[in-house]
Amino acid sequence: MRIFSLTCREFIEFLDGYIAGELPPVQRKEFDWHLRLCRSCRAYLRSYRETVRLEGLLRGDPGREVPESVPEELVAAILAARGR
Amino acid sequence: MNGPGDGEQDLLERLLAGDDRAFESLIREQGPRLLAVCRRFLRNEEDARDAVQEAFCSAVRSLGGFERGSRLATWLHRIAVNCCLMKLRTQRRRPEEPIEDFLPKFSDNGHQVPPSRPWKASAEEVLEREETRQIVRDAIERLPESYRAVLLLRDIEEVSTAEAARLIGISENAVKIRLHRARQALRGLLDGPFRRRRP
Repeated sequence: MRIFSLTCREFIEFLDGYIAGELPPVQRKEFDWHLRLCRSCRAYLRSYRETVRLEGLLRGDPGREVPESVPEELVAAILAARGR
Repeated sequence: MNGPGDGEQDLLERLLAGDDRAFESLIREQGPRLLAVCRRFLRNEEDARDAVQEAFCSAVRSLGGFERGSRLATWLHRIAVNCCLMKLRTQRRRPEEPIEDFLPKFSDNGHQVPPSRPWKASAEEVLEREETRQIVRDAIERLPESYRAVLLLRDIEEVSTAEAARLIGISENAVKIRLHRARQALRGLLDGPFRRRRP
């Protein structure tokens, strides 16, 4: 779908610049218009933002990823390597 | 700024004095978290353990430059991330799924095919938080290495574009391009689990 001069492909390709507020005003207006009229790109934008938000769940505390202890062979290897 | 407690200060003094038991304590205390971080960057367990080993050895060599008032854990974390990136730069590329497989597809006239559909209002409404995190972890795991590294650095480790460029050895523009493609690919991988079943 081409809304004014913007295709969905172009919208998605430059979406990061749009979100970051880095597009020149004329281009930004084209993106705004495309969003008003293209349901698919509205859904894409929301899910892209949600993706970044979900990544945030992995920040800080790694939760279950952290093993209870370092494997003994690794402890031994590190101690031996340090001794060299 | 939170500074180190007395316990950490004491450990630091003992490490600087070359106390072997202090070093072993450090490995056992900080090692699990570092191993988790390295496993994120390096999918191979052997590579992750190598990176952890290198991180501790590197830390001991550069202890003299450790900034008092910083946290040992934070400092070690940064060293471990650097070790992972060094490993990624030097190791042979393993076969992996091309990122194009996960990017959105378009018709000849620029239409997205299939069109995007809304996601559920919030992933956590549907799943337990840890389940959601596992789905996201698994999806990140599938990204090709060079894209995964940028995504982990920028979005998880919250390293700046400039710093990420320096660490990886690419331009800032290349970091931005890779990050956007990585996010698109991740979105594509998460679309299945989180898309609303009915349009």
